[in-house]
Amino acid sequence: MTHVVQRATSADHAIRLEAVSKVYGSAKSTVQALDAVSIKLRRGTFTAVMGPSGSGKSTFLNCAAGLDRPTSGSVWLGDVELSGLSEAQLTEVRRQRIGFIFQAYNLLSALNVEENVTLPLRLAEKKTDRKFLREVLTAVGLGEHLKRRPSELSGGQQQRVAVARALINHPDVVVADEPTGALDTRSSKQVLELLRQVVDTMGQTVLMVTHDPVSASFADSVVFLADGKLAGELTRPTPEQVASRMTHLGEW
Amino acid sequence: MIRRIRRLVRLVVPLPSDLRLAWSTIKGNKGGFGGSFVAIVAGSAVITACGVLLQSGLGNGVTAERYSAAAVVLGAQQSFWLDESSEVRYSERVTLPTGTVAAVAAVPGVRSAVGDVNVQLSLLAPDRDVVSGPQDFPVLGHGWSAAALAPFQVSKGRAPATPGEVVLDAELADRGDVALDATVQIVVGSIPASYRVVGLVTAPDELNRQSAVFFTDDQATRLSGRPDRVDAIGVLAAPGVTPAQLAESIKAAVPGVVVHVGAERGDVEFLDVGDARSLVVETAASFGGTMVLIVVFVVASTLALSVRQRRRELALMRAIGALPKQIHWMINAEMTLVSFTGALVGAIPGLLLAFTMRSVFVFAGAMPPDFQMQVGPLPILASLVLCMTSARLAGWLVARRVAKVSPVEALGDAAVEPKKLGWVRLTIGLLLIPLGLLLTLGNVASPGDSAADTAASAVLLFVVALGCLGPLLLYGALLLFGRFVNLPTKASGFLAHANARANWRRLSAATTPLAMGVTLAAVQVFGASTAIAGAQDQVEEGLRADHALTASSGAGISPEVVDAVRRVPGVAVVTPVARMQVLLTFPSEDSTATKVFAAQGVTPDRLSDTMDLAVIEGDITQLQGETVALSRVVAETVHAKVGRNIELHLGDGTTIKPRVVTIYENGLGFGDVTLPNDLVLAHTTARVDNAVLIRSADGTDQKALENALRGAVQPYPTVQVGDREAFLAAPGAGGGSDWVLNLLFQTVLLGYIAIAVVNTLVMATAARVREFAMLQLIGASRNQIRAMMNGEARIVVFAALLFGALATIPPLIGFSLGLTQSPRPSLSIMGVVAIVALTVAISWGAITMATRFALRHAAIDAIGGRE
Repeated sequence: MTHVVQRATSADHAIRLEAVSKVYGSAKSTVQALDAVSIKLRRGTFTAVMGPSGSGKSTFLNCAAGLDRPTSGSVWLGDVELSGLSEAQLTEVRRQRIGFIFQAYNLLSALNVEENVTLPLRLAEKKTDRKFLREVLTAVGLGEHLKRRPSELSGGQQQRVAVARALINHPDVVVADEPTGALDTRSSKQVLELLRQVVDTMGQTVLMVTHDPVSASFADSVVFLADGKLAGELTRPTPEQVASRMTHLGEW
Repeated sequence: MIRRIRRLVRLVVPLPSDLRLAWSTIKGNKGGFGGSFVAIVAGSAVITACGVLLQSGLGNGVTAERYSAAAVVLGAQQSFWLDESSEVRYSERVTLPTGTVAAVAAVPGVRSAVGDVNVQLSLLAPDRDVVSGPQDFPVLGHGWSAAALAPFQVSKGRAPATPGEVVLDAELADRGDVALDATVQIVVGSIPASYRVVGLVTAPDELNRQSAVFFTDDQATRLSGRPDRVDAIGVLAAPGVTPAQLAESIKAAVPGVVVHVGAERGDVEFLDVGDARSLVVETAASFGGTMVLIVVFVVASTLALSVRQRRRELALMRAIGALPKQIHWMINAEMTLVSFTGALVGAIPGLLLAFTMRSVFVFAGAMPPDFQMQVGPLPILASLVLCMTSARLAGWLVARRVAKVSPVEALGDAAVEPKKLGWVRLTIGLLLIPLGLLLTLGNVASPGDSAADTAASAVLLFVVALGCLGPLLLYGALLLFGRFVNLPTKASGFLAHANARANWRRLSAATTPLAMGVTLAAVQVFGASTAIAGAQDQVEEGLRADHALTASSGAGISPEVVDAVRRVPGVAVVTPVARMQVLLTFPSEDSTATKVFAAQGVTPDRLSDTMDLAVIEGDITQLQGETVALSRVVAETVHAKVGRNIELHLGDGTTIKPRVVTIYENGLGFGDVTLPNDLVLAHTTARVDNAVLIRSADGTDQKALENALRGAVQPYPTVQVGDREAFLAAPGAGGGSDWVLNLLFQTVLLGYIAIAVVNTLVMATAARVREFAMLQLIGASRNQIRAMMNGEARIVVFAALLFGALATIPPLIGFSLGLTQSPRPSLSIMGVVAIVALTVAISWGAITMATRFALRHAAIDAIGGRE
């Protein structure tokens, strides 16, 4: 908890996109995946991104997480501007400032829970803070399963290990891409509650892409995308509100 | 009924709709099918190459030149038949009794029968230069009556009428600038004689493999040294009699001859062609057969890997209602397409490989350089059929397993590696190790195998043990050495070690065959280097002569020369050395076995002063008459004892039962069988010695002796005087070509195993796209992933070399003990470097290539499962 507070002073926003556009394709046929999107995510908030297929959700996430370079505009991760960085520097920034959670295939089957969680530190050649590790694993409810292999865990438990791993390097932001897409309802709820708790008690910032209104309702705010443009925002929404907004945006 | 037939047909010939579907699934799984495709292309190449060699061996060989007018050519049985189908060719020409000529001439339908002899000779032009045959082929002398078999036409002059007259073939005369009526020297053995050229003849076709010199019949018989034998009989047919009819009637009337018609006539005329054909047919057939089995095995294993990676897709098909037999049809159609294109594509490198193998055969001296290759559609067709059958068989084996899986079971994510090895497998593997050690070190050779052979073949036990225990050994090695191969303090090393420990079964699918390949290669290479080094040591140690005579051209040195140098003052001991190959027949288990050995014929008088055979038992001076001395290795092999008799077939097919008088050590260097010199001379084609060893009396002036020796051989223009180095440089005890051919086949076979290993590694690595993507997203740089994979490659290389070395050492020690009584095998540095380099190239190359492939997509695209 204390760690987060220290960091929060450096800037108000964990991620800042300014007029980010992304154009795919050649001269003949171009696709405007993102069209001058500007958004700021405040530290300690939980933001969900929603939109129909082809609305630019994935491109948005990739640009925000430094995985893809925008055609124009700038992306700030904390106090770092990403556009001027080399591939190696980007990797370095991602390693230090972003924690990823994917829909599936989050864990290395060869490593046990503890080794999977501390893997980002190992890759960055940093020492593991045992106290923080225990804190994180207790938070995700896996304190007693340290030596288990992923194959010995349920799908929900595996995703919670992924959450723990995303937190281990004190990132500026945790980026989650459909983190409950492969889970049943009960496990989904546990994981989403965990993300909520991470934001509330640890002050983490979470950015989550989803297409499920129930998942989105766990967020502080829901940002809608349509045809590469921002199409409104809902704060503290209910699943019903989200669903009706999505219906207005077209098919989902 | 009709449906049943349709279904049967569908299993053999896929329907067009199945093929179209298969085409789409293949396009969608290029990586998966790539492995099988490569395996089939390589398999097809090897099978095509064997097919081309086989066809060339069975085919025409070389067209008869001097016998082209003969309807039928009769020769003696040139082979010892081990059983119905496998033969050993005798090293010397097997001759027929002269009486047979008359018997054949009496057969109805024969216009005339002509006995032919071949006298190997050197022709010296008037300026005393040696005139050689075309492309260094031999110059052979014959009786004038044999000229009718080509038939040769007199273009200038006349036929020889007196013993001092000869007729030359016109091309030979041209080459040597010899004119009609010139006087030439002809050296038979080492004995020169002057002849007047009274005629020139031309053959209907050019002579490409020989030059001909015709003497009078009597003179030719005299020069051949065997007045009562002929080499072959050419038969001219009476008008209206076909060669086939004539062959039948001769076969019925005259026993003890082998009848050749058509293209086979060349085999009698040119023994080397017959030898090569027999060798090529035998090796190509047996090697091709082995390769078909290996192709099935490798294709099945690569296919199994790719199908395992498509388990979900296949399970999905089962889930949406595909019947097991429809899965069969699909895989069947896929395999048909892949194997058909693969086999066709492989045919082209196959033809190249055939010609490469041909040049290795030529290099090894097992094939004459002008051996004709026959390239026809048949080998390609055969390879197509064999590859498609093997692939379909492999596909069927794999589909059977997949189709049985229930849809629910298959869709569930069963990514957990099976942990246990079957106890049967473990027990077999564990029992094979002491058994192998017993065979290599326990001196328990069975009859027919020397201790060295037994030790070398024990390597197979170790290889099978490796196959059984490979995964477990890898696990053990990882526990013991894993930390040193990959330092766990670095992230990449930690990950490589963790991956290897978690996926040891998967990794062992690469390390085990690689270790087996390393073992086979190492035993082959170091076995050969040990034998060669042993032979060199023995010759270096045992050769006590200070001078040696060798022949610069022609067959060798005549016995008269030996007598001449014996009379030179200062010469203490003269030992003529004649070489041939002999067969030993010995009791083996219930029946008998026969093996080929290199033999030398020497005179026993003070033999150890020129050639020390390192006698272990018996008295070498008793080597007179029908006696034999055997090397320790051979004596062990045939279970012979001093004082007993053994059954021995000489080079020309004569069977004798000599008494064993001595057992000696230095068989590697000088020959495994030593016979009296006169016995060997009498049964070689040319009746000459290969070399003569000379030891001077103590205190003799070497320079003066050398001059005296030169003086003594002055009348013999083809004989050269040299020091002991000349003997070392001369062709050795034989058997030299064997290891070259072994190496060739081992290389092809190991190359194929390497393809399987590369396939396994590439497919296993390329399938880790998502793992690599995830690692990158959580902060690993590409360099870290590459370093991790290098770490895994290090484990593969380390394990393969370690296990390979462990399995190689006992058989090699046993081999060396058996062969040279020294436990230290000779390891050639080149061999070590080559084996290590190949292992590294295969494993590291495959992993690096596949890692690069797996990293080509952006991480975020790869993780989404859009594979």
